[in-house]
Amino acid sequence: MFGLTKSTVEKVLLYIICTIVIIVVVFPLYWLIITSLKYDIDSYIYPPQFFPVNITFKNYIDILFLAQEGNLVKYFLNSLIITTSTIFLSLLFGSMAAYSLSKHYLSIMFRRMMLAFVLVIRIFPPITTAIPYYIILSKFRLVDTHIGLIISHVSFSLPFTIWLMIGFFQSLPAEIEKAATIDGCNFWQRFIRIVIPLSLPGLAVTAIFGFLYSWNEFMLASILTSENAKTLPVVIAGFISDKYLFWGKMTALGVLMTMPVIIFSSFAQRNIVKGLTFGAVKE
Amino acid sequence: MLTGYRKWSIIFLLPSCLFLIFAYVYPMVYSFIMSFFSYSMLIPGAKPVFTGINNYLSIFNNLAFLNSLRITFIFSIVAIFFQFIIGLFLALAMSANLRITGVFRVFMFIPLMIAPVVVGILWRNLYHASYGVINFFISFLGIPPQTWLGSATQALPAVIVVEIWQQLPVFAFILAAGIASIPTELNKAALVDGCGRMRIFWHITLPLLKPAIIVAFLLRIIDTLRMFDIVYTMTQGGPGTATKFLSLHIYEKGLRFFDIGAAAAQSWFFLIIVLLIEIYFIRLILSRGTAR
Amino acid sequence: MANLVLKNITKKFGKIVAVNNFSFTVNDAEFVTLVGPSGCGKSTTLNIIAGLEDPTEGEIYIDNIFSNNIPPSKRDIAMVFQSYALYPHMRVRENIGFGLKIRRFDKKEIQKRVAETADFLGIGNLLDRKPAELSGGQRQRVALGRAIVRKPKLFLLDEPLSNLDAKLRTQMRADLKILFSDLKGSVVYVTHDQLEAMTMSDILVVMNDGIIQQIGSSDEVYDHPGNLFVAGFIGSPIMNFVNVKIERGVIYSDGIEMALTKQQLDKIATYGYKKEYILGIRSENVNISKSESKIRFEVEVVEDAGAEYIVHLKNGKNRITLISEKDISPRRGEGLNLQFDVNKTHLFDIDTEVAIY
Ligand SMILES: Nc1ncnc2c1ncn2[C@@H]1O[C@H](COP(=O)(O)OP(=O)(O)O)[C@@H](O)[C@H]1O
Ligand SMILES: [Mg+2]
Repeated sequence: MFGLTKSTVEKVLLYIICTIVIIVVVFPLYWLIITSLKYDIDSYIYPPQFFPVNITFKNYIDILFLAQEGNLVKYFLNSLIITTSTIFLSLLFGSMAAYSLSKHYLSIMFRRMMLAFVLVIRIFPPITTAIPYYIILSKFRLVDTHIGLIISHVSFSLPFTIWLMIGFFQSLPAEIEKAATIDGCNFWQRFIRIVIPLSLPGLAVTAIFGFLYSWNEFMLASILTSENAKTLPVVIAGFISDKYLFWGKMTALGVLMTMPVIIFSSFAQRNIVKGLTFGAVKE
Repeated sequence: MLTGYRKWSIIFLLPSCLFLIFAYVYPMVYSFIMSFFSYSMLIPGAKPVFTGINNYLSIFNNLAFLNSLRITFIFSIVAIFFQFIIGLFLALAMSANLRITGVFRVFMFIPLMIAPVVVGILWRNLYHASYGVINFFISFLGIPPQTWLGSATQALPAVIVVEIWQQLPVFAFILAAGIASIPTELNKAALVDGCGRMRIFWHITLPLLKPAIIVAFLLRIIDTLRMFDIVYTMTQGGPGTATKFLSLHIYEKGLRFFDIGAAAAQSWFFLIIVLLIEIYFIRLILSRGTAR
Repeated sequence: MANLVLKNITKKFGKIVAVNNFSFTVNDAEFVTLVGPSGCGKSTTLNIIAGLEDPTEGEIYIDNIFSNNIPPSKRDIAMVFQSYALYPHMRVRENIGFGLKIRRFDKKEIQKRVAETADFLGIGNLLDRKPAELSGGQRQRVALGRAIVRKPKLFLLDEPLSNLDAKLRTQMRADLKILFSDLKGSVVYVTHDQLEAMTMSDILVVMNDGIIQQIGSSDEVYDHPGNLFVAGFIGSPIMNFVNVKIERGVIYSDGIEMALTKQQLDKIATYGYKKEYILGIRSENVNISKSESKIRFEVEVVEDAGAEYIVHLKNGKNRITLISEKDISPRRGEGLNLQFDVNKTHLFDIDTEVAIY
């Protein structure tokens, strides 16, 4: 168990445990998918159908084209716009801030203060700012706009981006930046032509986490949007009513929402580990 | 020459600062001011009335708030405890480097990919009292069907299970990375010295993992205390107030009853509790840093 | 092409004084080497010349223009780094041309100059590779290419050879010397390797602890070290040092009795008498004498260095080495009669470590 050689018994035991855990971890996703392929009527029967008898795409067609719940394509686009903007802006501004803080041009006291500020922001429970932020947005007439939600998503993502990128920038070889300075780069050119291209792995990590967060975020989206800028998580939550649960539609939308994330992040599993374990262990 | 760089450094900080000021500082200042007023947006034309620290005082005899506080902390502590134990176990399993652990690493991420609102809906189905899969499984153990989310005593544990399920990878991977960073020579040396596996674990692995464990705890506490999305679609705080987490309570106070002053005071109270806990952990991390 | 003057440069990092009251001049087309042990402030000095660091005090003049406030990009200098610092994401072509591109040269001119430079350095066939696909020596050449393509006034090289293996280093040493004498550029070269410094430079600036110990040509610092540090740092094997007393014009120490010359005694007289001194003599100036002598040592170890023997000798507290032809075969424990070339000895003040003669 400690990176040393194992006996056969241990190996068998490990295989069994891992298999069980994999089943526990994967089964709910499987259930999400097959429920979306069942007629609602088949979701209400007991014992549950583990292998759907009547497979149907009715649920998908319903939510995509029959538009009872409003224009799903529009909400999908909203989600896409807000997520990509969030990623782009938080990566750009976050790494700029991180670059500034990772250099010694500003006094150490000031940089420490900024870092502490960023750290504290990271800790804020979102609900504590959500309500006053909503009231402020309504004064600026920004409720239910993309911008309003993007600002709050970017602000949420910034602390993570800044902390991760500072670590990354500090690990870049100093001589390369000196060489760029001698070659005539000013601060901005050095950042955009040398530092950023060398930091792509770090940026990938933050991009993935930004995507996971912004795409799936519900609380702020539900408070700050109502129709125009409504995102997919809000749409899904809207399906829930006390009387009747449309399992088929809800799960179909759930699948549609989850697929892009799984595809996007399957390219970058290694990077996800980096993001999760960031700061916890010295590499 | 360096003054030019200083100017650039400030410029580079500006956009982030503006965002954070607009989305955090300004709202929190506004909220701080409102916490000293009685102000309900439900009454048209109502003006905020200054009430001093009344909103704060009333927190202490607000049973609903205290109940939410209690639930939130039970949730956080229990969930993190089990995530830690199970995560440690899985991290050890992953460090075994068998073929299945590779597969395992890939699948472990799946719960994290699914939006919490979807997770809530999904488990609501799995927990369903009359046709849920979970009741079906436990029937094989001879346990009669339970109401789960319909039961005041079972709803919170049920939510805890979901939280453990979804966030398990965090602990597992942080600890696995921690284990991977322990030089194998140490283990070998200990084996040569005649230490048993258990003693290696207690005397080498665990102490060396301590920094990773503290960071993982810090992250998990930040996250569990803000629990909102999953319960919103899974139980909506019910039955009764059995799963009314603090975030949900404040959300309703502010946005269903539009009692802005009280919601602001409660937010600040909540924030300060969270900050105190986190400062404790951050100091643990920092003291470890200076000791080195 | 250019001259460089540093006046009283001091650089502090907090409490650390990395460079202390540093002054020197590099004339047109001169090859000047800063040499000293690692951590003595060489890179810091170079960074200050380049404008990458601001000096805490002091003045920099390039071509007689006060340059403290001129940014690195406007100083018309080029720099080669120990790690080469090539841009990993760019091809060799772009690496060499980057400085021109940032300075908005037109595309054709860049292409022409990059091709010229690459041919000059013999890396014309590597232009489309990334740095990761190059060997150490090739990277070295690309780094040089990046420096010379802009035809700057002044070249700054920070330990450019220390990442190469020994054989390549010897060859590059010669190549660099030829390269910069062809270019007629002014060069400030940094190394911790005294041999490199000796073989390549017109002028050496020997440094220790941020302070200049001596400035001079290779011969000057080798034959007339200004103090104990320079004497010990320059030359290999390291100069022999023994503590000695001087009575009536004769030097005494364990196993050593040697009369000084009149000139030497005059110098001591003008310097003032001390109780004890340190005598220095290089290994090649210690000879084995066939006849009886007043200098007798016992063989400790004999190292076979291929072309010659390095013989370690001992007498009481004193240990010295000598270099001998391979026609004799001294054995361990054998007593040897020695002869010091008295004109090649050095005498140092034991307290201030300054050279007396
Ligand atoms: N950025 C810095 N911050 C603090 N100390 C530094 C910095 N750069 C160099 N030093 C210190 O200054 C001294 C000289 O360093 P350096 O010029 O790099 O030496 P060299 O190049 O001769 O090896 C060293 O003691 C080093 O620790
Ligand atoms: Mg150096």
